Amino acid sequence: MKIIEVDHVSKSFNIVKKEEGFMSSLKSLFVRKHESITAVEDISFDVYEGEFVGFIGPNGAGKTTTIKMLSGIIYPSQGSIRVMNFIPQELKEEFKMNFSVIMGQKNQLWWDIPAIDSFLLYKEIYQIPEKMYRNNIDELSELLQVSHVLNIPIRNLSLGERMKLEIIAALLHEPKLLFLDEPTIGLDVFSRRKIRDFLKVINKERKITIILTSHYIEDIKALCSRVIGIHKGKIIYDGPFESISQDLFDSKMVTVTFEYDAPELDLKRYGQLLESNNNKLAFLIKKNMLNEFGKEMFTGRSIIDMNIEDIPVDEVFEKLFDIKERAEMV
Amino acid sequence: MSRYLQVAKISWQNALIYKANFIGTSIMNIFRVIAEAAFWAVFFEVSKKDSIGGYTLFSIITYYLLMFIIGTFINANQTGFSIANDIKTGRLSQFLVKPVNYLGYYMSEAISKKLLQLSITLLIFIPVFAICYKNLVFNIVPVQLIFYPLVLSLAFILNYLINVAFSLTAFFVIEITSFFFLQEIIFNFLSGGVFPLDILPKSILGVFRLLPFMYVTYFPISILNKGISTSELFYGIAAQCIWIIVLYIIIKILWRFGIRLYAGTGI
Repeated sequence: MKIIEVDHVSKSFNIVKKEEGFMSSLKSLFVRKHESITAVEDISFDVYEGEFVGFIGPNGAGKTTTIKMLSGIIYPSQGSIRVMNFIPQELKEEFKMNFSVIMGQKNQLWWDIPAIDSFLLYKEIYQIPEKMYRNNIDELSELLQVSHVLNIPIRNLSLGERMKLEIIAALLHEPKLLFLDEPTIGLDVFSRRKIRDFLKVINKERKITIILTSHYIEDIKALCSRVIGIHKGKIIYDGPFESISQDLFDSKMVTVTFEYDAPELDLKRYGQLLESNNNKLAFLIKKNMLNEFGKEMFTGRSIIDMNIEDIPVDEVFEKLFDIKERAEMV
Repeated sequence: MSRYLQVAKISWQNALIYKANFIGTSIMNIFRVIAEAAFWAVFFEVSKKDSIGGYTLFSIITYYLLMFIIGTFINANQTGFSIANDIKTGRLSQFLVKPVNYLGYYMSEAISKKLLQLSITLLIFIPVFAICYKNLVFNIVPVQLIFYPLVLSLAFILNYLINVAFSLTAFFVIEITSFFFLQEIIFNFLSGGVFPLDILPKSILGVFRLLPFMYVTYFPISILNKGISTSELFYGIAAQCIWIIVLYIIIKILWRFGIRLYAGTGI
């Protein structure tokens, strides 16, 4: 069953433009230049119940704007949106009872009091029955291993603990739909993994439909059965994660720092050179070639540092976009 | 209803964390009363008059005492500031997506904070009353006291709505928060928070009677301090009600147009 229907939606913002400097600040008191910026342009997609959809795209691509429209926070300029058969921006009570939004960089819990007290307010706001409330707190805080910090004021907790508590708060009323905007931003690997596992569980067991944006490709990869790629306000990809581009995910980004200036290398068979900067080189290397590549690097060369990591999502994205653009040109 | 009760409880909890802040404000108010008293003492001495606009030195001091106590209960400036900030920083978004009435939320927060503030203020001012008791001037028509809780509640709601209406302009003018200081000064003057309004010329007072502001502060004080006629009492209550309705409509309109412009920036 469809839970979200987005039909030819666009959103543009009117913003005030100001030139640099003091004089133009004075001038802007009287004459203001307005400019219309298109954040999202003619997007259409459907989401079915139980799906786990990832939005990827560089900063400013329109991911957050889309989430804000889906949750009714802002009005679309054009097109129509239906979420659980409601028009989001009408903000009907019944609509709001059935979803949650978590914004990675915004606190929703009260800063000065323990989470458990904030939860009480959620209980009243969403009119959660006592039994369901208790069960959810016990179960969710057990899963995320935060039972021991429920009684400590939020301001004394770590970023990871805070985010976990935010997630619990968002789930107390058992929403059918969950929007997560960069929930793992700034968290360490360990917390991220914990949250990832947790989201997987609630998507599977509680059948919650989840829309996620994340900067970490592993998050998307581990969780999302479907990926929607947004670039410059347009959807450029919509499909399963695996078929984005197999070789991109079969590769790792390897950065090598040499003691002296970087040597000239012919490494075509391992992968491609991304960037060179004096004594530092960055490569995209196929995973099955990593061993050989390492051997070649370490023989007869003096290396100070070598860093192997997953490809950053922006990088993946740029590639994806390039591929698409090239395909269009042909 | 229970959800707003819980909001009230939460803001109590939050407010109690900053109790020193409340106590500090009340103590500051005592000093302001002393400063006002000193000013008017000098004023009466120099002008060699016994009364000004019907106020003696002691009745004017009584006015200020009442003003600070009633003022702490009625003041909703903080709410206005929070709302404007919510709009500016995008914090409004998290209220929009929850099944809770935004203005109702702030209303219950304000009421619970006011009750706390009022109790602290009374605790601090009671000794002042006890000491100055003989010199204070009250002219109360006892029957009018029946209406007093109503007058105070309406004054609170009126002030709340004035502040909300002002703060909602943040939808249209982003940097509204800097005007709050100015707004507070003008509001204080128009509402009778700086001096009793009836020492002004009749013609100016006539204009003020048509505006909502004096029904927030001056009107409730004058019932206790100077004494007013029954017809003036009912005129005042009617004016409070009419302005509450008008402001409510203005707020609805501001909200309807503003929310379409809201971009939820900062999230």
